[in-house]
Amino acid sequence: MAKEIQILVFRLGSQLWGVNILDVNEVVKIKLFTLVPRAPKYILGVFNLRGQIIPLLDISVILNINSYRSYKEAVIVEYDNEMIGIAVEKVIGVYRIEESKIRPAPSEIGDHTSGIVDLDNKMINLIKLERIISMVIEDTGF
Amino acid sequence: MVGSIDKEFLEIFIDETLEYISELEYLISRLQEQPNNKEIINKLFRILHSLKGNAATIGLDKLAHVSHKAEDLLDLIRRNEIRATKDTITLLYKVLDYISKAVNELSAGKSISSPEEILLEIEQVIKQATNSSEDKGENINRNIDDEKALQKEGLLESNDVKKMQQSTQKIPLQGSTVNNIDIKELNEDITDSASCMGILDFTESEKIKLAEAINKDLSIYCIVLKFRDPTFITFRYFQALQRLGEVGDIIKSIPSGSDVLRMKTDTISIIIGIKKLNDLKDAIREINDLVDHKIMRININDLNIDLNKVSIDAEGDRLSALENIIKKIEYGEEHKSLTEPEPTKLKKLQEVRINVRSLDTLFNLVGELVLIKSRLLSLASQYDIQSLKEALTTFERLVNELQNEIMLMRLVPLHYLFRRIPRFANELSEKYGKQLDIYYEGGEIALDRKVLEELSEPLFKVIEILVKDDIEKPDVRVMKGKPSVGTIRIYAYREGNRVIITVESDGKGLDSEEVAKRAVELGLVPPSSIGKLTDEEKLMLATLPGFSLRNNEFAGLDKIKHSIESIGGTIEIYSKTDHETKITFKMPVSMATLRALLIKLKDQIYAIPVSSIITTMKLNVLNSAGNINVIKYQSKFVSVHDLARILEIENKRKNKNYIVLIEKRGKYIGLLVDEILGQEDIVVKPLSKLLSKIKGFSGATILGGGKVCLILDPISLL
Repeated sequence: MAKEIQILVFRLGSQLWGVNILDVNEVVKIKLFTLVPRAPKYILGVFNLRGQIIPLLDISVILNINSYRSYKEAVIVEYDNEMIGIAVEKVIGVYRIEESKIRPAPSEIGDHTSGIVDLDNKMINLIKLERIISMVIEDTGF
Repeated sequence: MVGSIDKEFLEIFIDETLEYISELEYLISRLQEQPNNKEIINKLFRILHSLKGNAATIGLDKLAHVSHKAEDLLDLIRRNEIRATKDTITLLYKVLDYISKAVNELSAGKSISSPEEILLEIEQVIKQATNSSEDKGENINRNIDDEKALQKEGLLESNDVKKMQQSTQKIPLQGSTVNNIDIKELNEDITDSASCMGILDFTESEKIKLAEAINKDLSIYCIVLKFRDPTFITFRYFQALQRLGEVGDIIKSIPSGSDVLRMKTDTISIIIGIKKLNDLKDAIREINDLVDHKIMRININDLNIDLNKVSIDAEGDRLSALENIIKKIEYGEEHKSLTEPEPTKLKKLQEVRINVRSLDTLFNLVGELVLIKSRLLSLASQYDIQSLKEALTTFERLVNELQNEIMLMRLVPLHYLFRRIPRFANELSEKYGKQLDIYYEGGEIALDRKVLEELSEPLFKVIEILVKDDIEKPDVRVMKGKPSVGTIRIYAYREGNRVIITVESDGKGLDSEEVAKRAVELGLVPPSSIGKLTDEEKLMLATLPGFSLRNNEFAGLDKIKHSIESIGGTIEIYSKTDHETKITFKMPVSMATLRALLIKLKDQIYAIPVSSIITTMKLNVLNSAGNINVIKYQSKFVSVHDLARILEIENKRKNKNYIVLIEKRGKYIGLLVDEILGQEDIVVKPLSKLLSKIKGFSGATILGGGKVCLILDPISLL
């Protein structure tokens, strides 16, 4: 049997993006979040997740894409015991894909994408989540 | 031993070993100070000895092996064949590291890593010391040697024990003719341990067991086992009973199996029926960690028990006697669990272990409760309902008490940090080639667990910086006319609801002019701003990010400052060239809640700690002096800044009506805000590490409604 992975697919701007489900802790709805003055652009703000203060990342800034900035949901990931929320416009769902069907992304897209997969004739960009987070961490001097 | 027992024992073992690890650490650090202190060496020896025994019993051979070797090492130290030099101490620390690691591995469900390396190291040290004198067969008889050694040191009252053994040995095993205990003597002997009281008061079921034992021609003995200390007692208890059960019929024990869990005793009394005294003695010899034991023959006639009234079957029949033993064991266990249900067990418990995580959860919940309380109170103040007010007053009191109690539960003495200092200093002096005397006091001062945790890194970092960059090399010190050995003093004391911790060293010092010059050189501050600063303020420039003197000296103070401030503390630096350098932390005792003023700025609410606010006022006239705005406060002019502009928020609103006057290191500064909402108790929560570099915020809190509110930090704001 072909090796399969599960990906969480979400919409950001006009495009669909996918992350490996194993990297995701949970998905939550964002009702309120608080702006953080002086924060870098890719930090939308902070919000309250069951009593914990979680930063909310706007990865459209990092991916350099246009988004509608109408964030409704957050994909929560954990990195080095720190929870981080990634703001998305809409979570589409979880899909199984065959690893062999992942095509390399054209180099113009940038090195935040690990590949592209075709799902029911829709292109999904697979995000190198770890790379993005470690970039953010480096930038903020974690 | 098999599966389930193993697991249960393992948990007890891990728990108790963890306690011992910190004890070991402490003792090693003491040994370093007093390398000839026999008492410390003996204590270390005992702990390792216990550890060895316990580890071996549950099949942790690697750990047992290492403890055993370390014990050998200590034995040599005790016999003055090895000196407790720095190298030896380092080796002992390595043993400690191995043990901690092993325990961590155990609790993570992993297998213990290989002890080869550490064993080899100990072996080498031992070999060097014993090259000439020791022969190779020694190891086999180690255990007996140990006991002998213990006796030599007076740890076992060997004479007493021997006498006792001799006298009991001569007793023929049959019949009750021989002079034996008289109860009075027994009670006198062991009155020091409350646990022995009532050992000769038998319940009906115990009488049956007694009668059965007598009928099997067993001799009845009372054994008193005295362990080194109450630690590991549960473990030792079951171990002892198991071993004794193999050689005789245990009639009763005090404490009983279910009592031992909740009693902190070091003494166990057991009534046992045995066939041969030698078997019993062999069994006792195999019990670990005894400091003393007594074996006393009990004369049945003295007991005032009419055994005829006790119904017995199977007279003299060995087979059925055997069956009875089995039955009894089964019955006994069942019996115990039936008559001692859980609830009564809990009732008498004095202490329970609580998972730190549940304590944290509880702490957070109470924090939320405090917030709700504040909200309720402010809501209720809008209505004039007497009964509501009364109910709320009680509610407030209860919540405050609850909060207080939880706070106390979380306090941990600084000792837990301080006891790691000697070892750390040791490593530092080696690493940087400095000679060091290190003193610390105030270990009894208690702080919130979380504060303590967060304090650890900055504290040790400060010590390192001072050792590395302040204390001079020995030859330089001598040239300066100072003693070649540098001194680091760490002291802590309470001041109101803060704890002041100072690290002081007598090195070359930090010159405020040099610091200021360097800060300008590095472009951290504009040259123009230096002139007005006081010496103290100049020294504080050393805590700017990116600061270091030449050769990277005194680098990293910014990180320390940041971690201290993130838990609500402040840092101060004081230095006198070539005399002393002091770095002081002022820490909150608890992070429970903070009284804060809530203000509004462009639809966002921010909290400002009340502790740094002087006053608030409505803006009347804003004067300007040059291009800065000033107001007059108590006949002084105070500069006023637009908070929105400081925070780089676009705020087009014109009606900024209020000024919050804050104090920043003795200077008053006015902040212009849109609205003032009022005071509230807030729970300080750390901002995510991702945001830790952003200046101006010391944390965040959650307001009613679940929205996050940032807490402004006046000090780093401007």
